[in-house]
Amino acid sequence: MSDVILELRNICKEFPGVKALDNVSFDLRKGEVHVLLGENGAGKSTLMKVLTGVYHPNSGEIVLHGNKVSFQTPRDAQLARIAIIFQEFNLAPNLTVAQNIFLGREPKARSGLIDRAKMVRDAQEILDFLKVKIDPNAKVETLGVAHQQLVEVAKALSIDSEILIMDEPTATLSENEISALFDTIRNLQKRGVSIIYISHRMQELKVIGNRITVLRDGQTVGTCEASEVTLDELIRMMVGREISKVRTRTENTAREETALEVSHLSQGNKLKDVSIRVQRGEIVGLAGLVGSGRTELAQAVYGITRRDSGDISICGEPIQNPTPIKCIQRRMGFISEDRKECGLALNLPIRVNVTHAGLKSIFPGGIVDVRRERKLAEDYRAKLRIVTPDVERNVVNLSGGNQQKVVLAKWLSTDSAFLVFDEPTRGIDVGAKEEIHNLIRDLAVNGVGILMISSDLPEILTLSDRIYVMREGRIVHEIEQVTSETTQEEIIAYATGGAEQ
Amino acid sequence: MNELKSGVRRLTRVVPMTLLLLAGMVIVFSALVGPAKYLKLSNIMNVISQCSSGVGIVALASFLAICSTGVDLSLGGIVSLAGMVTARILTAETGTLAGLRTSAPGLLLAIAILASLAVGALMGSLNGVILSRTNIPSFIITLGNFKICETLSRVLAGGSTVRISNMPQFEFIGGGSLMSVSQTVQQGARTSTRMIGILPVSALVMVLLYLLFSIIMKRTRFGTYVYAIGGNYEATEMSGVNTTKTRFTVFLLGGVIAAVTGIILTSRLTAASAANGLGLEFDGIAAAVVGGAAMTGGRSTPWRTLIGALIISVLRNGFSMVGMANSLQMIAIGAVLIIVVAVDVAKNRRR
Repeated sequence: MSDVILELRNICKEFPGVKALDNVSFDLRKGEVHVLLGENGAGKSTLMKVLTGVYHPNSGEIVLHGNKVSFQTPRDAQLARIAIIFQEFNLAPNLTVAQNIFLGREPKARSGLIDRAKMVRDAQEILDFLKVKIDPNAKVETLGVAHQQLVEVAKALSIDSEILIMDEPTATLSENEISALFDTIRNLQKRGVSIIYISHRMQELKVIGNRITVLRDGQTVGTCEASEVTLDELIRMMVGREISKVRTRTENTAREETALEVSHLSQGNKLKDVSIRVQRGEIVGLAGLVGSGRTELAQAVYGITRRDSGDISICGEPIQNPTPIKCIQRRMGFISEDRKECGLALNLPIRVNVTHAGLKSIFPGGIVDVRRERKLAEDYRAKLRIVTPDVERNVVNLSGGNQQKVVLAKWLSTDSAFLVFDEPTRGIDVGAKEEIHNLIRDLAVNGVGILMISSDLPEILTLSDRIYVMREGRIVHEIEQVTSETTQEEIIAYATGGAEQ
Repeated sequence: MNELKSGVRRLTRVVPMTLLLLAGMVIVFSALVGPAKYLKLSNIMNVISQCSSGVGIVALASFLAICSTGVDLSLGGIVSLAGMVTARILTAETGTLAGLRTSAPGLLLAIAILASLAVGALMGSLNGVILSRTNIPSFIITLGNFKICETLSRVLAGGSTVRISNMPQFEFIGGGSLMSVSQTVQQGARTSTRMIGILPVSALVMVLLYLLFSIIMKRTRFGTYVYAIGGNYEATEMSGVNTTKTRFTVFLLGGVIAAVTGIILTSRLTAASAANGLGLEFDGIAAAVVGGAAMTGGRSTPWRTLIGALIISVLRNGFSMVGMANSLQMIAIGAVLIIVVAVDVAKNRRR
């Protein structure tokens, strides 16, 4: 059990503006499940991408079976019998299950054509081993998320992997599916497969893990035996601090005005009878697992997707059919989780990005006064402490935290009274995170109503006045007043449905 | 009502919607033109050979490019250049080639065809090499290559149309038929008999190519990888597929397929002009898209693309039978393309 088959030594990896991995070391023994734990942005996924040849480390070495190796491409890692199941789906939806499992390694018949019968047979065999009922001839796009995940597992198994990396495999699975997955993992262990298991779900770690390594801010905090460590200790290692005291609620007069009122909102099977309310000057957290409908709710309010039924009003004004334009007119702003795709024009300067959503109100004449625009951008640069030599610099060159501040400036320049933050600090390093948190607090103090979607529970707990928890398209729980007694466990219990069992 | 709906749905699963559209168009045109005139054997064969010497084969190349998330705008240029190369070799007036014309016409023809295919392969692989070495979108690369091909073709033409005469073997490719029927034609008071080919060589070549690529797309690694790239490029790369090589091959094959069209078109017209084939790159895209290809890649099949190409050909023939001016025809075809895609998009959105 204890022979080490893989070692990562002193790995460093830098991206422009971010030191993603700083001297990280990690080792893996034969047949163990080694959990890699850390908050969002701690460097878990980056480390695995270094291991599988997607990224190349700036320094450090990878030692496999005592030999130093260097993977140039994912293919090299595959040949070394290392397989990874990525967090984001890596299947071709238009191909069948069998085609996906054997993509790149299709069995050939003597005619030189693909031996489809053999491919389907082999796929069936693997699926049987996994005890999942999926038709190998079904197209992947017709499968549910959980089954797609299992197809990925099947694919990893089909290359006869010795090391299997699973990146948050349970993020989108239900309880039953998770226990089936765990059975599979134990089966694999018996066969001598070693597994690196990435997660930040505390509950499951001790169930499935043998050892746990904690990463924080791109550094190794420590490795411990799963049986000898408590959850509290792990949390401390992860966050590096006791979860800070709940902020003191700021009372202000704006509280009486409603920023957002949603009643009985439904949309297909994504949103079911959702009613929420956000007062001005209040920070409302929206918690839930990935896929629970949080982003869908925000998008329905902002008019990106159409709702089936329900009423929405923003800052006291009802909206019939919301569109982003109508929402902005009613002083709403939306800070998307995907900054690069939906929040910024990356190849334009900060100055232009800052006025992007408010051009009409800032320059009602239709002519942009560049000097005034620059002045405005400079003001926000100073106010939000955006680190840049000047505001003519293209946004693409800024670090994640500073990019997020530019998005924020964009919505501040439109004088928003209600802001939706979707994962405000995802992929942002810790220092900048703290600053963004302070900015959000300041906004609330100044009377802005805030709805904050976040998967980062400490973030939700420290910032929110009130919390809604979503699961499967419904609001399943409301924490009316967040106090120092409120725990992550309470949120997780409702988010996973554990509270009802 | 619901039964009817599910019946229609079951039908469209077996028979693609576009085939019904094609049938519908034939019915509408024959009603407009008059069935006796429209459904005449000579008109039907005319549509088929127009298709196989134009959009029909090129559409296959367009489909390949689109399926792998690219687009090939150089096809029309390659058709023109390849056709011109064929004509130039066949009509060479000096050197060994000229001698071969009388001594061994078959050999000369083989040289001309091989040279033409080689030019297609060369231009196609030029697209492919640039695509795999740079990050330039295929849209831009092939647009540039279109211009290169068109200009080379113009230079080779030397300012005039190159006519090919007394080459029955060559003419057979684009104009010949393996089987013919005689038909009596009434022209005013005179009656005459005419032979109409019902198994045109060009159409056979087209069908064989589609058959070949249908197998390639379904049963070979290359075909699977083309679909996989269209479905999820990253995933395909992560799976260890050499995506660069696959995309290179797509454009290489595209060049060869365009060259086949160039040879057939030149043969059918027994002449090559630099303007021949230009615009086919758009017809090809239209055919592929009408057939069900998505610009995001990974959708449709060769056979569906062929239906798309037939739709374009039937439209063109139908509009001109109705007596619509050429310029109006282009507008009408453009409108049909947009409508078909709009319906498809709306259908997908509802899902």
